[in-house]
Amino acid sequence: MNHSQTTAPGQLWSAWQNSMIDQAVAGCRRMARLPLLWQHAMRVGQGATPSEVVYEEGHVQLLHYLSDASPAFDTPLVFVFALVNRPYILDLKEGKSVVRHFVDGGFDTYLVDWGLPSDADRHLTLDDYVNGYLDNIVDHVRERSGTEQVSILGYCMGGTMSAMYTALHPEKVRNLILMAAGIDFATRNGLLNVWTDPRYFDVDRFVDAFGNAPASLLQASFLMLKPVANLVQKPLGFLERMNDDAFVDDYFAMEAWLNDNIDVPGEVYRQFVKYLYQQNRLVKGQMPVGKHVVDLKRITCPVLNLMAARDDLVPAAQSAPFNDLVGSQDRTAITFDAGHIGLAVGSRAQRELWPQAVQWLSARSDRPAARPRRRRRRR
Amino acid sequence: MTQSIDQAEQIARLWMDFWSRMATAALSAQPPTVSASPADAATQARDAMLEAASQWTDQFMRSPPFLEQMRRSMDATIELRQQMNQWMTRAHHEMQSTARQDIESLMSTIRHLEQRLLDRLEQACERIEQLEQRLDRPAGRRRASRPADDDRAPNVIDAGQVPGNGQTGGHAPEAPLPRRGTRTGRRPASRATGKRSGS
Repeated sequence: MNHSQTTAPGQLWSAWQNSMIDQAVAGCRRMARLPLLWQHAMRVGQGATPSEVVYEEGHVQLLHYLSDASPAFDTPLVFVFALVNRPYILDLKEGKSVVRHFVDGGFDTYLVDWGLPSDADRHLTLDDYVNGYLDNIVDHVRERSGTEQVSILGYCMGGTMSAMYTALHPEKVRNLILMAAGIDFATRNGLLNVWTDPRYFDVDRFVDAFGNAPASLLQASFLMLKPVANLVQKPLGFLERMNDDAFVDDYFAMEAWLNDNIDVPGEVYRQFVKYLYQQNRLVKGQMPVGKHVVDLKRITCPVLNLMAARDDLVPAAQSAPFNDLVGSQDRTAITFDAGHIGLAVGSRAQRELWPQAVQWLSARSDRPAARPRRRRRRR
Repeated sequence: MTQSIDQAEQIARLWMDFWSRMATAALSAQPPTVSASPADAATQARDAMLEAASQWTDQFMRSPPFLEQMRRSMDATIELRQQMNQWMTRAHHEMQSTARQDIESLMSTIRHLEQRLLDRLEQACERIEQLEQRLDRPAGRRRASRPADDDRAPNVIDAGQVPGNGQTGGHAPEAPLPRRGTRTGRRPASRATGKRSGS
């Protein structure tokens, strides 16, 4: 440690003594709050915005978010999350809900909950999810809303699947928003790209032996992307801010979700790792989904590509090429200073990014047709 | 013996590198202000050390020795799992009971059956659509309106055009089929009654 001015040894010793006493007192205060932490933990829930289940197919559910006001826009919005975690990160708690922004913005909002796959689901492929479940859900929303098209917002792996879906069914998608979605996997910025190299990871042997990709393995691999931050800095930060109620509530809500991992169906995992991480087929126009090949040029709707500048899971370089690969004329890209999860629940993102996204979508969504006014007779 | 010494030397070198980076970061950390308390200065040093540790760890996890070790560890885990699967299957069969492998084979068979049925259904639907289109057209134009043989939906994998995907292991290749519609003919979904959830 450098000091730019000399301090007398006696003063330095005195300062250290006082500092140690202060830290000890602060530490005791924090430890005294330990029994109260349980109450904060008990308050953790899954989802903040009222919703109802309006569609079920197997273990997949479609949530419809409820609002007291009628939707200001005819075009409904469907959130599509990844298969590796639960989707309530998009509606984590009051003040940290992406869903709430769009509900309050006047959108008829839906969220796809992929559910918990069982061992029997190990043979489900990307075709089942993209051309099966997601297509059925979109058709249901279109029928329910009386519209021909829907807007889709895909997050992470859900964004990749949403891009595939939009390329295969462009007539059904009005607007596409991607959040930290992996598109071009050639980059070696992220550790996952390095670890899934076919020289070091035989995904076929793995899936043949394990079936579904175990949640514990996925959780461990995400943790190891930033081991010092996750295993040392985060607990230290928690110890230092334990007497901040708002911080503790946010911390527990976040940790509950982070540890709520689910298995990924084996064949989906195989296709994702092999065709995307290892062979990078999507950007080459060779990505097979069932009997079809995904051509991103067939996406012609307005697209908004949201990327996180400090994303270790899906580096921005993995998402950025998307706007150059689609056939859309209306293309917008925003790189926000946040991490992968901070893009959704970070305080700054909630204040600055999501109002912007709502505005972008509002400008590109249909409003209900105005009723013709009756002409009143003057007497 | 030589290999053990080399490995020990490699590990020692790794740790030396790690601790020297941490020490350098701690010594070069600046306190936030001139009059910062010793606690703040210590926090600054701690954060600098942890940042150095984080960067070192990231570099280490990209290094060939780590990746090679990761590969060996994964291979051993897969090997163990396969042996466990085989042992359990054998144990179940010896007891005349159903093993997991049997159920998975059954599921795979059912899935293939489902796929074939759905494909046939789609072909039937397409033929019906074509017939309906022909019936809707005026009588004089029907003879000239036969669809071309190469009139296919865009981006459909055709026989002989399946992209090489280097399939290995037990993964069955997807058989290319002629044109199919956008709907895969999944079973109709049940509509749940609405129930409110959330706080």
